[in-house]
Amino acid sequence: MLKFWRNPEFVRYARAELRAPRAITAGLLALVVCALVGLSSWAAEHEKIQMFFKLFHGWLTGLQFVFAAFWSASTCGQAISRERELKTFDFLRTTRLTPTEIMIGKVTGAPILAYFVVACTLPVSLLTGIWAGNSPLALLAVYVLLVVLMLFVSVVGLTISMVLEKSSTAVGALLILLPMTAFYSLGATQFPGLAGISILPSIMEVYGVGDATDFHIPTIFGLETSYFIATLLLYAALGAWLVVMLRRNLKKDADQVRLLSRWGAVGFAAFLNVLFYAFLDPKMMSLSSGYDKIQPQGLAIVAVVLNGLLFLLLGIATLTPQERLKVWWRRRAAREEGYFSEFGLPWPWLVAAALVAYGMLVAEAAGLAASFSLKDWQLGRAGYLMLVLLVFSIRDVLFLQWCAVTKMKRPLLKGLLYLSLYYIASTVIAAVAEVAGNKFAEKVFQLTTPFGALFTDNLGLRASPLVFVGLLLQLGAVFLVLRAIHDRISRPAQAAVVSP
Amino acid sequence: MIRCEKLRKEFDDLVAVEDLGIAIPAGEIYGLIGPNGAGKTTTIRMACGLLDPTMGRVFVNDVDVHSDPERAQAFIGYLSDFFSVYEDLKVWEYLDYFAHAYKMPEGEIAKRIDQVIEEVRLEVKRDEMIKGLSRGMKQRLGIARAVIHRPKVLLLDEPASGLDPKARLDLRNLLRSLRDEGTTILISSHILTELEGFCTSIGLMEKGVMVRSGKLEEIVAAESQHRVVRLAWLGDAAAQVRSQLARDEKVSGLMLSGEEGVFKFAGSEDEMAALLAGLIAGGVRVVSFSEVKQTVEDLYMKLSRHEVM
Repeated sequence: MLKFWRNPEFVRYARAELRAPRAITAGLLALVVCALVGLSSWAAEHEKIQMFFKLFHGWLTGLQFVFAAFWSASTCGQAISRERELKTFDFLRTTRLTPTEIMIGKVTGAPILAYFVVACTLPVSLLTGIWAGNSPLALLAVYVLLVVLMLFVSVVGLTISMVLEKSSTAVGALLILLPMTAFYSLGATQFPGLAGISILPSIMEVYGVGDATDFHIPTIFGLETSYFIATLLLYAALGAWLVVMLRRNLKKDADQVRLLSRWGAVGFAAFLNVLFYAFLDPKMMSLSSGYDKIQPQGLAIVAVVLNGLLFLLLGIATLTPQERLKVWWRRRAAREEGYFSEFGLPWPWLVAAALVAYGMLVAEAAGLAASFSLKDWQLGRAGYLMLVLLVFSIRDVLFLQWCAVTKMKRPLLKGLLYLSLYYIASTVIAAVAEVAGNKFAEKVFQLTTPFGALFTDNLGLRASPLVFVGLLLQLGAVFLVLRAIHDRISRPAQAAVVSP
Repeated sequence: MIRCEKLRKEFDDLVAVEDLGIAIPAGEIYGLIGPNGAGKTTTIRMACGLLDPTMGRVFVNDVDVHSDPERAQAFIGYLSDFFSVYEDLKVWEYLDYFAHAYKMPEGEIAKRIDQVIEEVRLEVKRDEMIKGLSRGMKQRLGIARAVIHRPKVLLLDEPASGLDPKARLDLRNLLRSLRDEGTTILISSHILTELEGFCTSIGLMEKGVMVRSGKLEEIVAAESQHRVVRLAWLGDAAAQVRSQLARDEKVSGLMLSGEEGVFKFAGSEDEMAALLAGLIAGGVRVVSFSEVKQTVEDLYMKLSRHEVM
């Protein structure tokens, strides 16, 4: 399995992508680009030779990273969806290749042209790097980062391609690369290590050009580390989860894909919470003042809000395909399966994920008991907020599940659009109500969205009864959606209509 | 070799295949017939592991296709009606890819590629790029891909669509030779003449339900209370033929025209031979006397409930 160069998928890509005329053209083009970069660098700086090489190497490496990342994202981002469109994927699925073998073949094979172009330009970039005064170890670290980035981006692209029904090269690549780049700015927050998801801080660190930024030193569980380590750790950990998702679903029909199992979803929630607390720089909590300072109760709110988003994502990742849900319903009626079955409704597992998330918050508070008392964390308020967010998430996830069991086309997309419409409508109503007075808008928010509870300082039955009423309203909505789902999946199926 | 147990597939509120139970022994060529939308393709896609059944199980060579897919795929070759091939590969590279993907022993692959290329008559295209092949050639390449790993079971969904008459004949011959080698073949088609002459068993599907399934001759025998016999004679013997045949109580539906006629006969083959001997002994100069065999099409028309739209 590890001999990827003998993997049939890899061999197929190598044969198709690297035929002599194409490989020679790509190689020549790459060298022409090298020459152009060299010339433009010379034009910009030719008095100090080391500066010239620095400029040359910097531009060339930058181009290598941009090209390799974009090419990997775009080729892997359509590696499966494109094959589905061409109807070649069915034959791949009926071979003896395991999902792991297909995944390895595609991740290493689909972007093979990018690897080839990087390999063609590597001697130039290494020589210019050394003449620019970089140590061989630094250059090795940069190219380790490049390979790791290409593998990570490829795995992300392949996962997206597995989920999407249609392929789109550029959009897919941008969908992967832009959010990754956005993580760059986290380097200046209380979670500096998370900036490692963007490759930039690590490259700047390796080249020693990061001093000019106001980035903090990343920490893992309070221990100072480097962005290089943080990046490798993040890519390895997140990549491992994506590999789990790919292995589970790669040979399935698009409509049968369910990224995570039930326990997998709970585990993923636990993992992301560990990641959140691991990359928190505890020094930021001890600051006496300043922009970066974060109070324990503030941290608890951030954790709760992020978990609220996570519940929604987990719910989407664990939606049960209509057919499986129907089978579960029949089996449950025959007392062959329980409510907490793998193919049942996703909501019980969101509750489990919430319990895990809250448990981790309490554990974090207990872990920092030497610095802050438990009271500082306002764990009761955080728990109440998490309950509100959980109930709203369950309502929304069940609504999406209802969309999935109806006959509507693209149920997930439409469901998300309906939900967006609902929240926009709530906001508009609140904005209109604000004309009648500030409290009115707050009441609308408390009744219809989880944001009302977030912005209410005193949570409790007496202090904020509308939040409680809003919670009861959502529970009522949950009940109604559950009824609608049950009505839908308990319908008897009818025989097909045939045509001559 | 292929066994479906209570196989069921539902799409939304529709039952595409309803509790299907068939067992196809080794060496059979089983023709799955029925109109479009009867559930043939769905059945084949479930049998080769491409579609998860809503309920029920499929076994190929006693391996559960859905719980042990990678092992089951070693025994299965699959070809669908509309498909694509990797156009950016050469013919031999395409087959080499699938030979490796089916995990054939490394030493056998090169020889086997040449063998199947010869079987589907693509020798002159061996080193050509696939994108330069005609549709019929690509279909033949698809057949070569399906048999490259010498599968014990071949699942073919409308395999002759897109093939010219010569290629169809070649396909029939190839399937016959595979059957002779012991391959079990499940082939679906709604063009009944395609299946004529080489299917040993048939299954008639309508609205997701298997209406009838079994050995062709057994179904014919079960569905025919009488044989249809056609005879021809020389000279003006129509009256004599009529009177002689009318005396036999097993003869019915007699229709004579000029020097030939057709009638239904409810007796055995021995009784039919005796009837012929009687005609000859009576002085009728019989030039032909044969049973009209029922075609798959006749059988389909008889068995089908015609619940079509």
